Amino acid sequence: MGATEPVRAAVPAVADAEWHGLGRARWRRQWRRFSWQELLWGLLLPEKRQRILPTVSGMILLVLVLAIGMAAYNTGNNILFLTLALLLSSLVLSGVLAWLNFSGTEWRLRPALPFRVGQEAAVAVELRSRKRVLPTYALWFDLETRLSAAQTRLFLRRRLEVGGTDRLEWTFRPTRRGIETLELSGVGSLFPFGFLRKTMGAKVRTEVRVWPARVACHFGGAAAARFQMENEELSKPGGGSDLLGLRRYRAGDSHRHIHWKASARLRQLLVRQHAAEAAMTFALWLDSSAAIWTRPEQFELLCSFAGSLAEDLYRAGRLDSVAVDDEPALLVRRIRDVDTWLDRLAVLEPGAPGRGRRGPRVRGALLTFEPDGERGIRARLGNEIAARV
Amino acid sequence: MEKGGSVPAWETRSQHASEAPALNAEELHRLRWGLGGALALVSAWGVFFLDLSGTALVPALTAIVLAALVWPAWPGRLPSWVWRLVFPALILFVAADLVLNGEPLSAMLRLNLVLMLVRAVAPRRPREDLQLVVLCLFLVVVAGVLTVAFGFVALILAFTALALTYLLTITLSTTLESEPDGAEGWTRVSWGRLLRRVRGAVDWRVVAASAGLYVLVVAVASALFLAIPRFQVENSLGFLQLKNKRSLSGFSDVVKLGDVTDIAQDTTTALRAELDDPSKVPAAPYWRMVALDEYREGTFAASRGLLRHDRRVAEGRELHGARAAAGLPVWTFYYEAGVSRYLPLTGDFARLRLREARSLVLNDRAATIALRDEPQSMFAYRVEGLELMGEREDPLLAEELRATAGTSPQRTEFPGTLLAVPAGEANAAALDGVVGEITGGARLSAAEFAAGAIAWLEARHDYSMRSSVPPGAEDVVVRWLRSREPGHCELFAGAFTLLARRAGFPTRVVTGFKGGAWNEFERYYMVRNSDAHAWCELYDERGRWLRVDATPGGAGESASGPARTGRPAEVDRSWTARFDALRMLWYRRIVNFDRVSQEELVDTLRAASRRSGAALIARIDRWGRALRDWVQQPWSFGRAAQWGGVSAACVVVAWIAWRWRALWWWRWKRRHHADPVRREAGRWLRRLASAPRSERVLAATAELERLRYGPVEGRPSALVVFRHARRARRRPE
Repeated sequence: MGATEPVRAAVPAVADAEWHGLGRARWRRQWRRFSWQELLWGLLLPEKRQRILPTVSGMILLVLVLAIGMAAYNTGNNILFLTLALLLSSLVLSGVLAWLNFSGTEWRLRPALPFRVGQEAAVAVELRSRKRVLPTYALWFDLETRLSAAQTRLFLRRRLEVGGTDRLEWTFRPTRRGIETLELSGVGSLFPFGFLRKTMGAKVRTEVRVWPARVACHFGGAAAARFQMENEELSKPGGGSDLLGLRRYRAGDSHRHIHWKASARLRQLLVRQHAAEAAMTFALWLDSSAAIWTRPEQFELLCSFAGSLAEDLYRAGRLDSVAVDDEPALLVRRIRDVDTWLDRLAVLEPGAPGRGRRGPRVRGALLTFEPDGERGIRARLGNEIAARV
Repeated sequence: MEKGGSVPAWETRSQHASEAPALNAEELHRLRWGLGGALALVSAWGVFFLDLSGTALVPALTAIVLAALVWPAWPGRLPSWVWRLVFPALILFVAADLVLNGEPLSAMLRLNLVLMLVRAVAPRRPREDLQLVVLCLFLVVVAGVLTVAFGFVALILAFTALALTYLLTITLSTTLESEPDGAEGWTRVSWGRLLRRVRGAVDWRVVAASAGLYVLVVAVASALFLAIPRFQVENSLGFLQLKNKRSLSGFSDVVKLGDVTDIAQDTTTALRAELDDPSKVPAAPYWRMVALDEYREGTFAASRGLLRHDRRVAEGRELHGARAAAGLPVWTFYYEAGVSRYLPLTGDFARLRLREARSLVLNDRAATIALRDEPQSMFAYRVEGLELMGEREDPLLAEELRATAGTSPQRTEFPGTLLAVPAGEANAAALDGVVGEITGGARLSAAEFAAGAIAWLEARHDYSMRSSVPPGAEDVVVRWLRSREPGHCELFAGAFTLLARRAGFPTRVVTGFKGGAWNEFERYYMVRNSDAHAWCELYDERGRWLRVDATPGGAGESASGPARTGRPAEVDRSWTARFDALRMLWYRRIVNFDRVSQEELVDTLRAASRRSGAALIARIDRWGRALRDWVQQPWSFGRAAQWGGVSAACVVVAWIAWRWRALWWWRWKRRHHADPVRREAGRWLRRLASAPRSERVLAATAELERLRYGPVEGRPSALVVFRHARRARRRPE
């Protein structure tokens, strides 16, 4: 073991995300609970990120309106008043078209799980149009993440047809383990004439767990075999000490198991593989006591190590259960159980020092973790060091 | 990018219910280029048609912009130093223009045209696109302000439609796709292909909605125009006076014989006059403009002595006259540019109000009112209590004449000029001879002399626009007088003036318009340049100026009594009049709209709402009374059964309509929105919305959304999806 590939491509995306936006359903909801007070307060104190700002062309238009208005009042010339009225009505039209553009358009956030530190994560903004006449043009969506402090602006570069759907995607690399808040913070547009930059607070938020980073770790099979030989009484011949075959030498293998004759013949180090090495199952127990894990970066490494080791063991079919501190052990039967373990690791924090804490009563061999110097961590199987990072 | 495992395959790409082709970046760029060029052309042609200065540049601009539209690649192939030279060349151009022509506004317009040309031809980014729009807008607005022409309506409407489409295209091309900076792929897109693509990409509903929105813009602009509060700052912008129009020489201080007749060749409208009470409209009014007292060798002029009585009035909007306004009609005049600075009026008035503050020059002795500067665009004024009588009191002249009665009057100084005749024995003898024929040696009153002189002239001369004067040593008018040649109005007026003066009556020549055509569509007088006329004013023994029209056909109006009213002499119902009525509407409702008009509009609306409110109340009252009478009629069994049956039938019909409204709606929708699978999927989506969120429900929802919103091609079996939905609803877990 020791591969850095994920166990599988992805777990199901968040499927219950609601549609947001200015669709008919929203208007119906708003109409039912409409109140003048709310409307007036909304005008005085608009919602967060809801703003309309003039662009450069908008500023030019405003300056033109002011200049033509002043000239009109200065001269009393109705041609200027007519031009002023046309400019103002163009602004009104701009507002109406912008409203029509937003209206009937709905969106939702669909993160493609899993999110893992250091690996690309995808978030999709799904769009649908509930309109019947006009397509939707030129929207943008502001996305941001709290934990990783990443943000982007996605542009709707195609037009969204009447009754159509579209999907905009963003990929980023989570930088921290924990609960990531994905927020569609604003939806904006310059449509139709580019005079005004209209942004409305989208208030679409979803939380996902960011699993710890994957680290390369090597689980020593020989240590497992020794552990089994020392601790288990075999009930039948051909048990754990039976020789299954030869395999390549991996770091951590005992020199006593090197098959020198075969190594000399094939010009590479080969070791004897016993049955115990392949048949044994393990239970991971992680003691998160802050007294043990005093260094935060070492604790982060612990989470990554525990997650990666669990994935590798599961792939090898040798993971029996996992547990943290005094929590009941989680039997690992399906891939979803591994996800649950990674979800738990995503939010694991150094706990209160547990005096005399002992591992859970489990069926397989208990793998525990302990600091290995200032930075490293090792997984211990009884008295044997099974793996280290 | 790989999607999450459970995301349905149909969601992994953009899905559209109707896959209409959309324009790509290159096509949008080409469209943008075309719209920019079209905007520049429309603005430039507007200048051309509105007859502004700088029109010589327009053909060149048109040719270059058209070349850039047809072959958009060539501006980009010009070496960069050419574009670097543009700015210094522009500075030189403006400086030379200012030095050579000396008119800042004209130079500014020409500069605007050249800048527009550069912007329309040079490669553009969105910032330059915006500059082009602003330059075009400036040109259009300035053209409108300077000309106040009716064509401005079409120009500004076309400009608005084009500019909004242009701005929309800019927004789409910069937002939908990244800007192809430096790429010239768009120049290879042919117009034919682009038009086909646009036709394919644009849905008829979008076109209809755009047209509707454009109508909305115009409607909102009209409403805003009416509603914008008007208050006058009383300070006009002096630089907006373009001096490119000159007055007609027939309506100036100096009029040569034939000048007025020359004007009469022109059939364009010079003046539009409307009256608040059409029943008082005069039959053939004399629109008096210039009074000329001095005669010398075939030229009538305002003498220096008369001009010394010119009195300048400071810039303002109101002028009070000698008459009281109560109960008198109100005239509104719309005076075209390039006619004269003298305002046409029929007589004294109570109050004169100008549309814009202007400086006036009054001359009480000549009874004329003129603008200090010639109007360069349509000029509107309103006159309250305008006098239509053909006589005017002038007691001052009588005193002056009495003062100089005993002395030898200086014939070259006013008021002596009013009695001056051509010098020379031959002229005097000829005039004396004619006067003797008219008076028969008797002493006649002014009115009697006028009648006699007119009769003598009509008997001897016919009217003709073309006249010839026999050669001789005498004065030209005297020679014509003695001949039997036909003549035009100036010859008749000149001859009468000399005869009257020789007979001892102070007389002057007046030029202006006579009559006009009554426009039946908008009910106003259309006075054309062809109505230009010359007549006389004769000072009588009672100290009054009498209007005398010696031209044949004008004798009926020569009397100084009130003009005939109620029926115009000429009524115009032609297509020309119809078009002119549109122009009149433009002047009346748009150009001349001011605070007073606004108040009148509000009063009209208020009165209309009151009237309609009162009518509604009266109608409800009538209905109430009718119902009461109906109820109070004696009730018999038959009557009760009859009305009970009718009421019950109505109730049953209403109930059936209400009960089966969904069915009717469904049938209507089936006809108009025929896709039962989508509708059924929508129904199931609504039903599942309230179900608990389980895996089964979510999977069924995804399938239903696929049916409801996804494309028809390749969608799953509807029956299977509905079966899944039914199962999920019954057993969510």
